[in-house]
Amino acid sequence: MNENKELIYRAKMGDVAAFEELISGYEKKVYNTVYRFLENTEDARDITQEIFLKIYTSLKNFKEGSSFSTWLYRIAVNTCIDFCRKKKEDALPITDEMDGSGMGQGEHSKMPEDVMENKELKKALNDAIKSLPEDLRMCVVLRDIQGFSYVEISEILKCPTGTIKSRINRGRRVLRQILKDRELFFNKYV
Amino acid sequence: MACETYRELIDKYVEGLVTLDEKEALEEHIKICAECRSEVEDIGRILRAFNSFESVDLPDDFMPSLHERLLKLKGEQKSTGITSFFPGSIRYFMASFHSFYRSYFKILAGGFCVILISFFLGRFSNMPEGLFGRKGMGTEKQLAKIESKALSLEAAHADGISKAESSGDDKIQPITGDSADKKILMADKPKEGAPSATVEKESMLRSEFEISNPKQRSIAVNKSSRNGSIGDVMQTENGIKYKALQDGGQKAAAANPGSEGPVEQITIFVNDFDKNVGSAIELADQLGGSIRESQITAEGGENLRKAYILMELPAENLATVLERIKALSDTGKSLEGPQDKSAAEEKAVQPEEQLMMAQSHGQEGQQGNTVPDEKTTEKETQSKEKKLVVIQVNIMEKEAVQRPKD
Repeated sequence: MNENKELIYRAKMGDVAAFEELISGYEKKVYNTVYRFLENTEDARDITQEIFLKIYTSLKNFKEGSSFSTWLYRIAVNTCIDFCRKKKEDALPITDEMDGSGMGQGEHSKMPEDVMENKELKKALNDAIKSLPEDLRMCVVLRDIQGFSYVEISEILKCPTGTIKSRINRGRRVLRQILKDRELFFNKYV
Repeated sequence: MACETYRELIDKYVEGLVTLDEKEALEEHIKICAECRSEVEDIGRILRAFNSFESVDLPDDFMPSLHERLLKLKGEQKSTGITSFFPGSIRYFMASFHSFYRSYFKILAGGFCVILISFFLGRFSNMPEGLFGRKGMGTEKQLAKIESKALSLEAAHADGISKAESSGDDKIQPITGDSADKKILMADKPKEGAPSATVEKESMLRSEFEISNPKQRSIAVNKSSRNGSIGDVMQTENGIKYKALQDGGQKAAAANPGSEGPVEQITIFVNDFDKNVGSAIELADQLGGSIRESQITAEGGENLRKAYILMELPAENLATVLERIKALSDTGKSLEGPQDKSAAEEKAVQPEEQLMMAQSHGQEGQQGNTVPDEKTTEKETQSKEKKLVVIQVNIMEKEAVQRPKD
């Protein structure tokens, strides 16, 4: 903890090496959160870098005694949401460049049925997530994909835990309905 | 129970966060409710699909690119920011110092408080009443007040009035029956063995007073250095007890060859502080001596007091007094007689041995370890020739004890 405080102070003083040491371990998780939220690798890369640059310049505003991790993810989430809003305003469509599976369409026939079904489910879910409203999407990404606890999410988003639970419940139901409507996911169960 | 009430329970169920009762209730419900059963299965599948999402690796150029952008940003900050005022090495030093400061902040703050408290105790311990303002007008004013009281009592003595009535100052009252009070350190009653002129003079001029101040506790003030005009001040739990000593200034000092300083110093460590201070005073009485000065300080806290007593006694009883004071110590061990400073310091680092220091020094009222100078030796010799010597007795409270309240 003390080591972390020293790194924070050195980073505040402009020490880039200290800053890089401070954020080591966070980069991948932040990148994944951004990626799951934006569903675009290029945007995710740029926005993640933007997030860390913002953290570097905003570090002087970080209050010691609070959680650095929570503060970092709050900046990440807000940057993502701002980016989405800006993109909407610019009327630029969010392109789906990656389905998360790392696998091309042509490989489907080579996979066992259950695995193939799973890949289809993932792709369908990726599409469905993009359709979620931002507030629901961020809660679902943080909880169901990144694995944050309800309390952590409520601290990151500065919302009551009850609100977070409600958003996650609604987000899951919306996802279910989207998949149901597209008849991609639940056909054989309905 | 309506399906709506199971909505939140379904999410808890699929996340594995339900209690046993909740689990049983929900499972009973989905046996008969196809919609809820379907929802449980669907949400479960969604979560399982999410869990199977693999973590995406950072692009290869992510960190080098970020590093470059950070350096560029740093350069921009340097040219405009306040941090550019200091060179990098100084900033690093400042960062390191700040880190050290933060790590040891509590220790530094604690040390500073101790130093501050010690300073104020040292600065104001001589105040007989209060620390600031009118109540704490300071030792000089208080002693001047007492001195004037002593002078008025001297006049009363001359008129044949044995004990002073209260004379207008409602804070100052005569002490009655204090001979049995062990907390009064000044056993100033003139002794038969003392030179008659001195005894007569002192018996005329000494008086005792008590200034009530219930808030003050056990800090004694000695002001005998003021040309012998005033004696001792002692604060107790219930008030400040003063013993005014008007010894007639230079004449009394001249009649008392030992007034310049003690020839011997003995230090004992005791548990029962009050009892042993009283015993030391009684001892002086028994062996034809008297108390010239005394002082109690509480530097180590209110239960770790130190008594400093200057005894004047016949030279032939010196050895006996030293022996009996030594016996007051809890272990009975003692060192006495002049010794050099280094030896005393060497002993001072051995608290387990019930350190008994004895050393002579040349300045009255000074408790420091000093080597006797030629002047002191000459005075000691003069004092011994006149069969009257002064010794300094230091009684140290060995450990915190609960003193009874008056």
